[in-house]
This record gives sequence, C-alpha cells and structure tokens, in this order.
Amino acid sequence: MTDAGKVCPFCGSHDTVKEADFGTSLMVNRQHCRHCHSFFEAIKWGDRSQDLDLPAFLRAGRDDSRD
Amino acid sequence: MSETGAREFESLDGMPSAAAEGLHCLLWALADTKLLLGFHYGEWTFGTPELEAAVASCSLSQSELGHVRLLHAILKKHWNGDPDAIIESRPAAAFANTAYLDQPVDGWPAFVAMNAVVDLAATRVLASLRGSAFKPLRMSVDKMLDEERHHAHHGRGWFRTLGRRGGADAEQLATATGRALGAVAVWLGPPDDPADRALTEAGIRRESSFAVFTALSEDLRQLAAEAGVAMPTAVPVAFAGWNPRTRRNVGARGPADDILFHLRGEANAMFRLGE
Repeated sequence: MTDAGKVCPFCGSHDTVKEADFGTSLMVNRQHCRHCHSFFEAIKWGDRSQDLDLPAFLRAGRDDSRD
Repeated sequence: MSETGAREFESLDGMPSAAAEGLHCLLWALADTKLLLGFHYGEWTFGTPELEAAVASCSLSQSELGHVRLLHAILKKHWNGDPDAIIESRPAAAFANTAYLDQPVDGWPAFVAMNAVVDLAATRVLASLRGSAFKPLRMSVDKMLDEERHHAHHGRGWFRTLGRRGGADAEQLATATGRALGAVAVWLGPPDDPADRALTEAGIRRESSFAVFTALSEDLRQLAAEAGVAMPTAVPVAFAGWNPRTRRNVGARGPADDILFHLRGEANAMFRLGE
C-alpha cells in the first residue's frame, strides 16, 4: 500500500502527485494530476479492483496498480 | 479524435442535430435518475438493517447528488438550461427517471433491487459513454464510474446476502428485481430508437440502450444464479407511445407528489438564498 501513483480519474494519467494527506474525509487524500492539472481525492487503501465484487464491465480498463 | 475513432466534439458545434437532441435527452434521463436515486438513498440513511448499511446509503446519496451536479453543469453550459429552475417547475410526468424510483422504496429487498439493478443500469449507460466523442462528457465519465464501482459492490453484496438467506427474503428480492428490471427496460428504450442510432454513429456512445439492457440482464442473471435468487426468465416489456424525452410510455405519471415535495424542499422554499 502506498499513496503514490494514483491514476487521474479525469484523464487516466499516472503523472500524479499527492498534495495533502487528508481530503474531505479521513479515508481519502488529495492528489494533483500534472497532466490535466485536475485535483482529485483518492481512497487511501482497499480500493483495488480485486477487493471489490464487480460485474466485468466495471473491472475492464481499470488499473489495479493504483494502490 | 475520440477513442471511438469518431470526430471529437468540444461543444455541440458541428454535431448532427439528431445526435445533439439524443444526447440532451440521455443526459437528462441520467441526471433525473441519479437525482431520484440520491433522494431514496438519502431517505434510507435511517431504517437500514445494519448501521454500516446506513453509512453506505448516506454515502451513495452524496455521490449520486455529486453526479447530478456534474451532469447539470454540462446541460447548463451546452444547452443553456437552468437545471435548478427546471427541477422546480417541471410537472412530474416530465421527469425522465426510471419509473422504479417514482414511489417510496418500501422495504430492504426493494432497496437492494434499486442498488443492484436501477443504479447499475445507470452505470451501464455511463459506461456506454466511455471514450465519447463529446469531450466534456468524456472528461467526467471515468470519474463517475470510479465512484459507481463502490455502489455496485454494495448492491451485489446485499443481493448475495439476501439470496443466501433464502425463503421470504430471497423471494421478495426476486420480485423487486423483476419489477426493477422491467422499469429499467422501458427507461432504456426500444431497440429501434433513432436517437440511439444517431449517438452511436456519431461516436458519442459505444453501444445502444438495447445492448446495454442485454448486458445488464446478463449481469443480473449471473449474479442471481450465484446468489440463489430465482430471476424471471423473461421480462415483459411494452413500448406504447414511448417518449424519448421522458423515456416513459404514454400516460406515465412520474414521481409521486410527496417525493417531489420533499425533493424540491417546497416546505422550506421561503428560506432559499436566491441570487
């Protein structure tokens, strides 16, 4: 588990950096995408697709390296 | 170029009129469905069988309302609509939400069907817009889908739980699931909808609503089989005077008066902040 390397939910870029340890709740941190310059919040842990019970179409195209 | 290989649209300029009209209707249908989903999830913050489900329901409501704001912003920018005013002034019959959400969600199995079927149907429509040629939407879809993964996880978890318990719980879930799937089939529309065709031809959607319904049915068939829930083998769907703007058949009434009264905050209208 690491806070680095979150995928930008707006453009899909891996070129992101953690801006702050906490976002609007304890479980998320604040990230910045250096590619599209968006700010977003990311869940800190337990957000890998293999941990979730999902239909195939919601697994497709996901990058499980986010955590 | 978009991921579909079609010409990319930064705005409605140059977009075929049939596609622009179809997209307008589709975004309203998504926004209205998410608005009503948010309302019902919010109401179910209290009354759930477990405290964790209450926390989850509150969270589901928040993310649906966030998606509504996002979709309304697109509608406002590109169609000059005033979503707030339209929500306040539209008659119930003009709402384009899934009819399953027109009435109170009257029990936990009905809630689970809303989560596992109706919410998932809206998510499948969003997924059909991945890589859209309409850039403002493409930039938002993946963000919404990211959050919808947790909605699907929650719905499927409770679906399996009620299925495993069997008996009346599973029977009520099967009934509610059949009702939800029937409502969703009408909401998605007939297989020969010309607006659907215009959207796929313009590269704005990857797949038609009929394809979405077929895939959704298969998702649910697999889940029901794994969970031991007896799904209806066929969902009877009739399109009688189907209106592409409301995604309802002729004569449909829309959300109940009580629901719109609370959703609009009419009792507290005098406290609005205004401009």
